[in-house]
Amino acid sequence: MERGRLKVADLPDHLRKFALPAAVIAFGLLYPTLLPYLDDVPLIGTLVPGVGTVVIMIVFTMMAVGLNVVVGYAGLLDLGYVAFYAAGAYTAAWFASVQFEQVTFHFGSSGINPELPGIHISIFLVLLIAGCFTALVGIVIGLPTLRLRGDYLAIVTLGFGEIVPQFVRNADSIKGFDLTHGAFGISPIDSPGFGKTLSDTVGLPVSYQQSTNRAELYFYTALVLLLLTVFISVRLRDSRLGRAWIAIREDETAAAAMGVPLMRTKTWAYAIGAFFGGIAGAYYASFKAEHFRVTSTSTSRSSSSAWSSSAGWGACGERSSAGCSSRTSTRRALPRSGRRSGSRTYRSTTSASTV
Amino acid sequence: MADAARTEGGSSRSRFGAYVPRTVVGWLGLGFVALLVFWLGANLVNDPSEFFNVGFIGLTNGAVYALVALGYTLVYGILQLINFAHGDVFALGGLVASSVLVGWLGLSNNSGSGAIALGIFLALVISVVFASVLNTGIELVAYRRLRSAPRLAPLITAVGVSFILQDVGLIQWGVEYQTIEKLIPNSVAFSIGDVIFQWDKLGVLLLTIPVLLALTWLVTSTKQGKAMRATSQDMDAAAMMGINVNRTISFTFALAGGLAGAGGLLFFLHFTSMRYDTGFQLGLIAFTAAVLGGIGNLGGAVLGAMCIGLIEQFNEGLELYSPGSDWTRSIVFGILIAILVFRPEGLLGERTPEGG
Repeated sequence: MERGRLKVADLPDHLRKFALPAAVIAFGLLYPTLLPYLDDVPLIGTLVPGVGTVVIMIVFTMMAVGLNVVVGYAGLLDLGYVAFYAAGAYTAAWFASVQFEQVTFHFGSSGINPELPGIHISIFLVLLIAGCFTALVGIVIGLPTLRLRGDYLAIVTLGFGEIVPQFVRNADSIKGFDLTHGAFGISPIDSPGFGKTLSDTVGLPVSYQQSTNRAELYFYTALVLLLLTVFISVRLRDSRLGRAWIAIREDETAAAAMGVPLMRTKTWAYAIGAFFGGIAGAYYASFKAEHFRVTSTSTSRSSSSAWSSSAGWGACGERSSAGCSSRTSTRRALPRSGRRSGSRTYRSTTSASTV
Repeated sequence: MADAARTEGGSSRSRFGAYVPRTVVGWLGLGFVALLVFWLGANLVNDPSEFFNVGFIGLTNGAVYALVALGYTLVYGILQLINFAHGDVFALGGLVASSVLVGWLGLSNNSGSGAIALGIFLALVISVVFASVLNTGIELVAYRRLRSAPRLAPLITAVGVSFILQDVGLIQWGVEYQTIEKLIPNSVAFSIGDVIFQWDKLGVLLLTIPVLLALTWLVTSTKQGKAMRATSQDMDAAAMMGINVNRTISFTFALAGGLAGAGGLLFFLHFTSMRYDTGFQLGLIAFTAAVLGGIGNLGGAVLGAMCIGLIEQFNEGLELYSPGSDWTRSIVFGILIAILVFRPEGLLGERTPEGG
């Protein structure tokens, strides 16, 4: 593995920076088309995952990219990251289902009977709402806990990761009010869609749920979301904020001495990491529309898979930069972490196999 | 084994001044404690005998937690590593004990008391040896190479080992709960007023307390214990003084594993059922106990475990204003968070720079 990584790093710059990611993206875009042919390849044919599985892989990869902001860039070990994912998923469930049947509110939702009770907001908006809400949760969790360092922070986040599933399970009658529908979960959740006008003019589907190629539609949307996530994450890393994160990761005391505001920078890392986690959770909820529930097992399992993929990133970024403190090695580690986004498809394969 | 080397020197706080909060957060913490005291007091006045009965059960559970919590704290004290796999070592120890007691010896509560005593002793020896060999092996294979790696690497390795052990338990023993009849009868040993002391719970305490005393003696009064304390304070300096650091760490892991094995057996006898993921749940609780008492501090781990056991049982058993068993885990982890935010050094621990 180490050798393979070095080989890629030795490639000429233009090839490494553009051709390889472009090839991976092209492969990703063509994947549903290629799938029938891949199935026929001897030996590996049976191992090729279906489109539905790949959607889940992409969602996990989005989570991993979000977690990478917290753990990989800012060096804050968050063992309860999956709480954000759950928060995002439940936001989607609240704003795009029949859960709150006391009210009837429709906004931009397509493919749904307008008489249907409950809040129904367009999933694309809900993704944004879920991200913002989860970022808020991240800030709320972060404010009291981010004063702690290292192991202590890990423990606190672990505690939050345990409390959230239990809260969700018990919150089916808060003074008689059903917030989460307990262990049964909330279903069904609306699917994305583009509405009648866009459907007639451009040919975009009215509703994913009612389309014949539901999985493919979810796949392409997930791919676009993932590319956006990776792009934002890479741009953030190179920004002033991202450099502050890396400074904190390398040496918190030195960073503070250089005038990096610790609390604000760390809280931003939490909020942005949580934002991505929330979007991933909301999208997953919409994809798994029929049976969505958060249980302690599902959260701990999915968190573990998100770790195993992204922890690898964080750890390898840290090792290479902590191992040799010289400037060049740090700089070499950085494009490497950027390139990781290129190889994410393979990473997510490993992460999905852990599930 | 409090990590004296890392404490902040020159604290100007007086002995009592330390208990007067200086910030809003501190006052919040004090209010939290006051509320807890009020809740316990109200229940004590309401039904004293119930209070003490529930408390006795809590102490028994706390004793089991203490055995596991000590393993966390021993390893943390020496390597500053949260050994997430520890709970699963505990679970495998208990499952091995279940195989010995039920599968191999076929004990039930109809067996003679001599056979039961012998069987439990045999199971204790086997599960302790098994768990300590397992724990030492884990250290040898997984953690030793990562000793100089960044802190994150061994931590995530520990999580990985934890999952591997769980799956081993799943493959070997399946998803079904392994169960056993009550070998130690829950007949009344003696009672003070309305407070009843039963044999099965008393047995747990009678087995745990000597173990704890022996451990304290080992760490404070033997050469090996001295080596452990020295290694935990400064590994390099200890090596320079001629201490075999690798052997000391292996010994610590063996000790922690042995405690986990004994804890597994006791848990199985006391709660009569366990399966592959019991360790993950209990490990988190035991770890909370270790943090509550001040991680790295042996007495603290026991105190913390007793507190957690009491809080759990009070929450589930008391009548007035208790949230009930649905919320037990939230309360345990809420306490964990509150402790870390308000008093990161724990009840008995010493302040470290990491606690901020």
